[in-house]
Amino acid sequence: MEQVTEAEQYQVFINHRGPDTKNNLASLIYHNLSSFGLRVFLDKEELRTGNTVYPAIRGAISSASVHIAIFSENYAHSRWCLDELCWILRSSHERKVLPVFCDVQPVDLRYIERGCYADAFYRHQQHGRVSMEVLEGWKEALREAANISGLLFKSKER
Amino acid sequence: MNTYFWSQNRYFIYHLSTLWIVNHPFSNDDRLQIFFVYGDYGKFVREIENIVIKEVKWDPLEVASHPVGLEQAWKDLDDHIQKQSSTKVVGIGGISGIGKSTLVKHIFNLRLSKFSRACYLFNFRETVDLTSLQRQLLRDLLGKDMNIPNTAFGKTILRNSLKGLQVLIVLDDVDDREKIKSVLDINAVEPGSLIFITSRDKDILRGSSSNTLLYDVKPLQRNHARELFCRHAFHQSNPLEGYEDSVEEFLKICGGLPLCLKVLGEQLAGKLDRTYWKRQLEISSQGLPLTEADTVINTLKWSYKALEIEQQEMLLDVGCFFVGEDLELAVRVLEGLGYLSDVRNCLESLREKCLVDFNKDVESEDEIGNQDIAISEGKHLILRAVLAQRNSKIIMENQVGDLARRIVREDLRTMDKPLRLSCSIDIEKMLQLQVCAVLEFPYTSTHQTISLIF
Repeated sequence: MEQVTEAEQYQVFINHRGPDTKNNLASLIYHNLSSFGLRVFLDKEELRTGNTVYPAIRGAISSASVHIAIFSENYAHSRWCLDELCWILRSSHERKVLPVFCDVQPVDLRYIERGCYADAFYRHQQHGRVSMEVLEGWKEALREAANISGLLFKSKER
Repeated sequence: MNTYFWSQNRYFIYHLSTLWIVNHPFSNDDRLQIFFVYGDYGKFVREIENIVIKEVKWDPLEVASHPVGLEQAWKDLDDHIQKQSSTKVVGIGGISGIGKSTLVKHIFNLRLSKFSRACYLFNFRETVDLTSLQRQLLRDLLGKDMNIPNTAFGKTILRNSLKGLQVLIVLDDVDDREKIKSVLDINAVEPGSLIFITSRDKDILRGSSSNTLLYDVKPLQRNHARELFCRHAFHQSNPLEGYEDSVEEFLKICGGLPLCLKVLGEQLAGKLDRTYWKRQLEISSQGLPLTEADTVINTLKWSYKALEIEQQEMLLDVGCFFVGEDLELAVRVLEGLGYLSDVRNCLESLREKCLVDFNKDVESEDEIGNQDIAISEGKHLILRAVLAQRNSKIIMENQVGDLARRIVREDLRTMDKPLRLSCSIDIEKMLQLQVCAVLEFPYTSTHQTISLIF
C-alpha cells in the first residue's frame, strides 16, 4: 500500500473525462451537489502528473463516500480516468459508485472490442506505454462498472 | 423501440434491445434502474442529486462526548412516533440542561435513514433575522442559495419547493410560536416529513401544529447519571475507589440533569484530592455560585430571563419555599403576597415552561414537584444563577426538617431599594397559625435582622 498523503476530506468524488464533460454535466453535478454544502471533488487535469493516480486524488477517492463515474465518449482515451476508476473500485468495500453513461451504453463497457472504446484501447496498446496487465485491469474495471446500475444520459440525438 | 415504464423507484426505465439487467449498488433490489433523459441536463442532474444526497455520508453533528442514556431516550421517543403514524411535528420539551438538544442532534445524525433532505436550525431563539433561517432551510433541503428579501417571500418559496419532498427539519430552542409561523408554514410540509421542535415551553410546542406529538425529556436514570458523571470526572464508567460516597452526593445535587452532571464532573476531572472534592461538594450544596460552572448558570439563566417580572418573582418564591408543598397552600400563600396577576395562571405558565412541576401524589394531592429531585435541584440551580447574577448572596438553611427552607435574599447592589424578605418555617406550623408573613422594609446596613412576624 502506497502512502496516501493527508488530503482534504471529500464526500463526493467525480471521475470524468475533462474535455468531454467539464463544461456541462460534470460541472453541473459539481455545483448542484456543492450547493448542499457537500464537499465534492472534481478532479482537475493539472493535478495529474506521473504515471499513477496522484496522491491528492487518491486521498479524495478514499475519503469520499459516493463516487460518480461519468463515462463519456472519449473517457477511455484518458489513462488517468481509467486509473482513477480502478482505484475507486478497489478503494473500499463499502464504496458507492454511481456510473453515469453519457452518450455511451453499458454494453460498450462490457465488450470493449465491439464498443465505442475499442479505438481508445487500440491506441493505448499501440503506444505500448502500458502493459497488457494494466490494459486488462482497465477492461475489468469497466466491466465491473457496467454491472453497477447507473444512469443513462443522452446529450444529443443519435 | 423506446418504451417507458414507471417503476416503483421513480426512475424511468429505458427499454432497449441491448439492455442488460444490472444490479443497483445501493440496494438489494434486482430491478433495473436506469434513468433516461434526452438532453435535459437540469432534470438529469436533479436525479443524480436525489441519489447522491441519499447515499452520501453526511458530516454528523457533534452530539456529546459521552452519549449516556441517549439511545434509550431515542428508543422511547421512537416508540411514541411509531404509535402515531401520522405524526409530522414532534415537540420535545423539558427544562434547560436536560438534554433536549442533545437528543434531537442524535436523531438528526441518524437521519432516520429515510430522510436524505434534512435541516437543523440552531439557536432559533437568538436568531433575529428570520430570512437567514429560511435561507438555511432552502440551502440544506434543496441546495438553493438565494437572497430572501422578506419572510413572506421565503415562505412562498419554501412552500413551493417542498412539494413532494419528505424532509427532516429541526427547530432547536424555540421561544416564540409566531416565529415558527413566520419562518415556515408547517401545514405546507408534505406528509411523511418530520419536524422536531425543542422548547422549554410546552405551550409553544402544543400550539405549533394541530397534531403535535409531545415528548418530555426525562432526567437521566440513576445509573445513567452516575455513569455520565463518572465518565467526565474519572474517564471511566464507575467511580474510583474511595469516591463512591462523594459521587452519590454530587448526583443528589445534579439530579438527572445531564448538563449539570457534565459540568460538575468536568470540574472535578483529574483532581483526585478528597479535600478538594469535599470543598466543591460544600460549595455546590451551599448554593454559592460555582465559578467554573458558568455553563450551567448561563444556560439556566435563560429559563429565568425569559419570564415576565411577576413570574420571575413567583418562581423565586416557589423555588425557595414551596418545593414539595401542597399546591393549594402555595396558591393561598402566594395570593397573600399581592401579585397582580392570577397566581394559579402564573403557576400554570411556569409549569408550561418546565420550571416547576406539579406531581400527583399517591393521595392525588396536587403538589409542587418534590418527587423528582432532578427538577427541584434544577430549579435551585436557576435560583442560584439568578441570585449570583444579581450580585446577591443567598443563605439557605435547613430549619425544620426538609420542608422548611429559609432563604434570605439580600440585594447588595441596590441599597436604596426596599428589600423583600420572604420567610417561612414549618408549613405545618404555618397552617396552624394560618398566617404567612412577608415583610418589606428598607435596607439597613446591619443585615442580621431576619424577622418573622405572625
